[in-house]
Amino acid sequence: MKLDRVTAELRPRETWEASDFGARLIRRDAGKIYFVWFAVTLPFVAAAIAAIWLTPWAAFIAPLYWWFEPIADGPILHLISRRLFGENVTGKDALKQTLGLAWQNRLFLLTPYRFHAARSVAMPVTQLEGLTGGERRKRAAIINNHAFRHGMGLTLVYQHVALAVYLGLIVMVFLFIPEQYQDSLGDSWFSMFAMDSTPLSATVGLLLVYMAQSALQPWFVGAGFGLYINCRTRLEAWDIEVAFRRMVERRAQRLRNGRIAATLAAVAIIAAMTPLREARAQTEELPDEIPPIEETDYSTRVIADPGLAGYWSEADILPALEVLEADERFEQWEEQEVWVPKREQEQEIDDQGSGVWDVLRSMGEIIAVLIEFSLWIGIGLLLLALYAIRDRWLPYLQRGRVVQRTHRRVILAGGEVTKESLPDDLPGEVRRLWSDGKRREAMSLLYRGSVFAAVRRHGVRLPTSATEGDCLRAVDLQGHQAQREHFRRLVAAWLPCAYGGSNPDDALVFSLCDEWPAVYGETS
Amino acid sequence: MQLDTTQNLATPEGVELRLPVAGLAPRALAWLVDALIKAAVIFTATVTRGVMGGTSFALYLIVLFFLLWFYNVLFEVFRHGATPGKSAVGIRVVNANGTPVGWTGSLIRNLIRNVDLIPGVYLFGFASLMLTEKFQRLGDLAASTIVVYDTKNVERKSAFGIAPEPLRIPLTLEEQQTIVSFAERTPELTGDRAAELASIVEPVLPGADAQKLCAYASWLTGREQRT
Repeated sequence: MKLDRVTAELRPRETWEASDFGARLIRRDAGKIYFVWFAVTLPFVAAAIAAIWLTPWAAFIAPLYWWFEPIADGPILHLISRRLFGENVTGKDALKQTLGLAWQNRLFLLTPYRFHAARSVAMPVTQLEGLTGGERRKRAAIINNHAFRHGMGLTLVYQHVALAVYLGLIVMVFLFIPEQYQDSLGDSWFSMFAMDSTPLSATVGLLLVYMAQSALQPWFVGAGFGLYINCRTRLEAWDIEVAFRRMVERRAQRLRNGRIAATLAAVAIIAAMTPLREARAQTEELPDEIPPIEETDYSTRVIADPGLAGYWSEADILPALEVLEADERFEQWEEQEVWVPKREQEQEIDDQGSGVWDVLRSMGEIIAVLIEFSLWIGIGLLLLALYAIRDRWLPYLQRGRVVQRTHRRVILAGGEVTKESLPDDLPGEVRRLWSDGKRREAMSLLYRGSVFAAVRRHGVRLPTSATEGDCLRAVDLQGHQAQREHFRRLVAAWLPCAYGGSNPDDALVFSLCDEWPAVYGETS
Repeated sequence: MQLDTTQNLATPEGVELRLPVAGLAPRALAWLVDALIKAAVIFTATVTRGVMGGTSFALYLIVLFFLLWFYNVLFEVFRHGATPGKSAVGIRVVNANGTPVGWTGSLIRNLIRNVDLIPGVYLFGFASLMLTEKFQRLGDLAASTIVVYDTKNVERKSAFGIAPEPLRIPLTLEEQQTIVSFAERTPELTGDRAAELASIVEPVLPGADAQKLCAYASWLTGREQRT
């Protein structure tokens, strides 16, 4: 095994990715692998079919065939593993070793190991490492330790997919049988599932099983090999070995280059001893590793950007850019397929019409726009008309409820204020309460009355459950000048009275009451 | 180029992306998980319908319709390309150019699923999966999507348990990375194997053994205080 000749990227992978790696190995050499597969298995199938027709045990032949199937796994493993490590084995070479490999494989051929849950992963240990006895068991234990669970998953997936393919093939066969024959074959449908005694149905059943297994088995072997290789890559750090070998190789390369460089340096020293002009001439003769730079007058190469002074002018760069653009190594094309609405394509086709057609179409478009606008205007008029006669139809929608222009409700933090809860002569009532000593009630009434009047008569809008702060803000923003000033004084007096139990002066209260009708208008 | 499991993409910015494309086994398992979830939902809906009777039949049909036609689409669009089954296995759907899958892609790939399903057991889908380079079923080909493994965040070791030693020999970035990954994986290796690996690289780094390589790695990563 020579790791430096490995033909695929070895690195520790996630376990499922490792199984895909195996699938890729199979795909790379699919031709050879299927050659080996058919060469090994077809004789068995032929023998099995002969046995079905010639012996009375037709029903048992297919399971027997299944038991011997791993015989092809050995050559497949041999092929992909040799190829992985840079050896080009032909299918014939692999076939020649079949018997030997089958003998190594006897554990999985002739014993109940055929049912090994992670067979695909365990097989390379016997098959490729050629270990036997205790050593093999130790080795298998290490591999199992790392990959048994996923190996079992592989068996689960691949055997079920094989079953699905088998069922799918049966359905496909029946799909392509003409209807008039289907009835007569209906019975053999079931007998094919059961692979029961009639030789014909047993043969067809066996062939279908064989087709399904052919589609799956090499890939199953490959996937198991992928897990096995991944396990060993992880355990033995193969990728690091490859990288280390590359490091050594690079150093050897550098040493070789170093010797060349030393020779060149010697040449340069000799050159330095000769007069300057000759030295230059000599440099120009050197191989074109470093192209000689033409002598130029840099002082003329100043363009607008002072940062570029002394460097390159546009005229110098453009030819170089052209060379770059022409070089296909710097080209990168990406082809993207996108879905385009069909209508746009039709439009493009229409655009190619003649002049008369164009005129007609643009006229049509104008008419279409006019019609569209008149329709919108019509809808607007209809809505206006409906609004105008709303008194006629609105009652019907409300099903006989009393139609009444509802006033905006005034809901304060303490509850709803209604017209009925307020006296007609508000300032008078406030003064009476105040004189009676019910000072808090008086202030409360004045506050509530003010808010109510502001909302109802002056259109101030309040949030629901407005607090004093909300009201103050609302009046401040929406009330008129006198109202704002009045309401601010009122709230300033009301707040300590309501929450602090400290009553305002008589004079303030009476002045608020006096101004009230002027600020909020007549009571009604 | 060597055979690998990643699909390499160069972006216009010149960055190379490596998309690890997922094949048959993980996708089949993800499908199985999703199928079990769908079966559980259908079972629950059927029992509920049986209990409620009458008008619930319409509701039942709506549930079935959405489950069968939009389960994958909705999860793929809103859960970054992963249905519950896919995220359980650790794979997701992306566009073939590496961008997240959108409504168009997801709808197309899941509508074409019915072609892959022919004749009821995904025979076409299986054939396409095995024959295409990027493990795409017909729906994936139509929508130009692929299924990739989730990238996991690898937890880097903070130190290699050894005093750092300066590396006096100039190495390329790749070579430095190799030494660091050697140190990271030493615990998994047997002592003999580690010594064997170190002896391979000895011509480049004179006097290097496994311990010394770990010391270099400590110095290269700079995760331990330099002495």
